[in-house]
Amino acid sequence: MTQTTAIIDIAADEWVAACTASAARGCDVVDWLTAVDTAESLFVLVHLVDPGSSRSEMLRCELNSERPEIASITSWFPGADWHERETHEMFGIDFLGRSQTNALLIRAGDGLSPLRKTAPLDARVRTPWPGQESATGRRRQKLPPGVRAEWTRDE
Amino acid sequence: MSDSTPQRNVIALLPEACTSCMVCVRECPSWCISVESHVEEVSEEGARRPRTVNVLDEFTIDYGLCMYCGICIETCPFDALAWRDSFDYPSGDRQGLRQDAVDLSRWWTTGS
Ligand code: SF4
Ligand code: SF4
Repeated sequence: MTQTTAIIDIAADEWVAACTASAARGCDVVDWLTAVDTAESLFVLVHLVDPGSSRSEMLRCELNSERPEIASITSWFPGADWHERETHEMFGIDFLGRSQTNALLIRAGDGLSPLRKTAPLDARVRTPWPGQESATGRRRQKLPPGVRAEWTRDE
Repeated sequence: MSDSTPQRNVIALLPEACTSCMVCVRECPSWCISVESHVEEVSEEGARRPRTVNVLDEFTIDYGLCMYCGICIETCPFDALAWRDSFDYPSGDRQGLRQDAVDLSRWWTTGS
């Protein structure tokens, strides 16, 4: 069964209010919370479900990709804790007002946000791309998909 | 998807259909396909000048890297790749998991 949940766009300063309003409508369990970096924009998304029915709501907020921050919802949804930590670590988004944001997987202080489109894909830069040469020997496409020119300059 | 859709077990190559266009090589997210080819001129009767065609020299899939996403099969503009049901091809070493054009084309007819 495929079920699609409409995305509701929320302004950053209404994030907590919108999430608690969803909870008041019955969707009071955090299924997941994560972020999406489309290169043009950075979004945080949360999927809230009503465990008593199959109903769910998906809230989305566009963030400032230079200084991404948003209020934490952990005081209202304790189940968001792990997701906010992971999203902080992977996308460099600060969740304001929460007690701890210590890293789960990567060393703190590296300033690295591996799931941001700006994070260099080192292995892709160093590994020879099998798609570079064509039959004529001409290099039709210089860079593999997803690899930015500025990552290769100091090679 | 019908019941007759082959499982994602092994990828078969039909070398006669492959034009060495490199589309699959460039789209493969795992970078596990490699194609070697050269250009030949073909003169045809009545044609004013010879046509140039790509001739496939080698086609390799490294099953040690493949994640069976099927993107190569979906994107091939010439239907030169297809799933086959066989799964009896593991190898004890990395090199044995690299299948060349001879290995891959054998699946086309024998892969059930
Ligand atoms: S199935 Fe996916 S990973 Fe495997 S060779 Fe095809 S495109 Fe590459
Ligand atoms: S996309 Fe198809 S025709 Fe092109 S190189 Fe790959 S297998 Fe050959």
